[in-house]
Amino acid sequence: METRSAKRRRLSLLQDGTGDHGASSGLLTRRRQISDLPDDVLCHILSFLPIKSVARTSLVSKRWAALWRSLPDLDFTTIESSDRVISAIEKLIMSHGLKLEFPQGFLKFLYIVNPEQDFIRQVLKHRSRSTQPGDGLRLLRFCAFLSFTRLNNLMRDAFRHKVNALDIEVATKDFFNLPKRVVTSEHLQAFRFVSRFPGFRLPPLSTMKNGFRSLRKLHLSGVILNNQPFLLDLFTESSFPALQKLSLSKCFGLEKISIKCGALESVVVKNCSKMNFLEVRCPKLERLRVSGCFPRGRHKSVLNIYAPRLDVLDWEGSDVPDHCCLHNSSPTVRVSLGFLNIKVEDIHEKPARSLLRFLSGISHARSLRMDSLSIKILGNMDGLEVLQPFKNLAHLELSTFTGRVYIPPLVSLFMNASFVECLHINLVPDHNTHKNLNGNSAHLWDVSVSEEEKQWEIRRKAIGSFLDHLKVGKITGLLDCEEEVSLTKFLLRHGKSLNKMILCLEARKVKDSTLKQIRSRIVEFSKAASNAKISFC
Amino acid sequence: MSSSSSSSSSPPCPKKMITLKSSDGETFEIEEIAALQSKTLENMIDENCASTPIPLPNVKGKILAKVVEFCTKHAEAGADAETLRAWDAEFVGVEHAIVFDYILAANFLEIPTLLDLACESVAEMIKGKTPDEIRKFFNINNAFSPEEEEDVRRQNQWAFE
Repeated sequence: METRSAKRRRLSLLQDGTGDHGASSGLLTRRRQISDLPDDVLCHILSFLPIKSVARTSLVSKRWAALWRSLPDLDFTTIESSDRVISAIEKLIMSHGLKLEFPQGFLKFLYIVNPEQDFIRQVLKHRSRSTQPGDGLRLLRFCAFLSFTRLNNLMRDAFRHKVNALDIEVATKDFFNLPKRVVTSEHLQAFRFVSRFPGFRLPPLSTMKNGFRSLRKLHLSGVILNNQPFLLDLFTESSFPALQKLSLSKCFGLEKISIKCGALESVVVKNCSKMNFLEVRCPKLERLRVSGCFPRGRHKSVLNIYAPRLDVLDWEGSDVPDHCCLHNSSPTVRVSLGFLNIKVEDIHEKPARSLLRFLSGISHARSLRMDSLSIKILGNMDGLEVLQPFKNLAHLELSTFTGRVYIPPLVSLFMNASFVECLHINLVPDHNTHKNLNGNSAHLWDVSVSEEEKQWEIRRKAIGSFLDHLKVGKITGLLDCEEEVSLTKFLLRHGKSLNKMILCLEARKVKDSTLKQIRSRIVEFSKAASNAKISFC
Repeated sequence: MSSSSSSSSSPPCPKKMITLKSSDGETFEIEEIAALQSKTLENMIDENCASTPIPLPNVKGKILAKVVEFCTKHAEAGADAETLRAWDAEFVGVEHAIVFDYILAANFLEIPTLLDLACESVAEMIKGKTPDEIRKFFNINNAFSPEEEEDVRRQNQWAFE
């Protein structure tokens, strides 16, 4: 973004070019030099270089030295780390009895143990003090293994330069408290703080609530909340007035959280492995993502969402909440569901009931994507309440296991999703019943009417409306599961509005000749819609 | 139920052209959709100032011709990324004085794709060179006194290690 002073300089340069044609026509006709470029453009060129290269250009001339001293973005992650750093961090983590999980993540880390190694501090010290608003430090980014005192000093220096965006990843010897100055800064608009190891504590609630007045983006990872696992009074309607994006990851010990900030547009909660209570009441929220939370446990888990503008809901790697309420969501919401893995013995009424409630809460969704586990859970729905109809659903994507036992839940879904235009089915082999392919599956496609097909035919009337509206079908995972050509056949045979059927065959498992045979057989299946096009991918 | 699906062949709408005038009086025509890559031109089109030839007093004809070529190429539908990258590389594979002209034009016309492309190519020219080599390559005057130079070197010693 152009600062005001840079813009003034640029406009004055233009005026020189347009005004006095006599003396400055030279500006337009002689060969351009790099020295003709205005400061902000030179800074833009420097932004493509790693920071060490930029620092070296300070020796080119006085002008370049001045540019370096006022460079808006300082990204120290462009320095390559040494093996020594990674092994130092590894030793530290192992000394706590843990394993270094992602050594790759430490490749950008600086090792700041001695003052001589603290060149970030030196750079900040020699930096020109900004005199005009908008001329300050726009971005400071670094990853480092350092002590808390050094971290505190670096942050203090950055705030002296009125930093707008701070992006920091640290590994420290011990836990520490997030410095209070982060919260009280008036210039800070974006704050990303990741504690790879071992973690940090938040300042007291009273400090946090009245702080972060200009903050638009917040990402915290590695927060320690073990003694106080409730974040119910932090993200209220009045706190964080400018916050648009909130992302919380690895909040150790977090059990309950309530998020109500009025300006929030995007919320991500990840890997809070003890969290079982989430309340979100944000009038402007457009995207919500929950991943790796809601563990399976005995406590009653609650999900409460009031977000009238919600566009996308992503639920991943988390258990189905016991109690789930989605109020007044927008009719264009796209939902993606992926639940925690569950053993066959554990699938019974309770998760099925919870899933039904969840689905009824999103019954106005425009697009729904569900993983194979959902179908498994729904398979245990006998005798339970019926699914609520999906009146708006235009796009349905399902991963489902093969086998007759999964036909009833699929039928249930289709019955209640009468207006779906695009159906994508991803066939997953069910390891409990999967028979091994013996490379000669062509003969299966000869069977005129398999058992599965009969099951589908019986239910044809029940899903008549669905079949009438379906325009595009996509089926992936064929050939892994021999039985599932039945669904393809069935959809082709009865899909009156079908335009396209895309089939993704797992080519690697079969000989080319067999593949060709299968393709030609599929193309010969009877079609209700004569201009339906079958394509393979 | 199957109806023959032949696309109705109505004559395509005539593409709207914008005229640009360079500092040395040359005029160039550019499709509106290509011109929209320039935020400056986009604003002018939005405010309906685009009917008369738009004067661009800071861009000479030789450069404006290339800028028009760039915008037109990048507005083409269906160009695959690799071919475009190769074309871009050739576009900036010219003597660096011309690349600076591209930069100034892209800066004035606010064409982010061209600005980034040209700036990155200059960055490549800087990368890996010592300060002395940079000075020689770009014909920059070293205005430092020896003491000043020593100061700056000391302050940024870490970058030379």
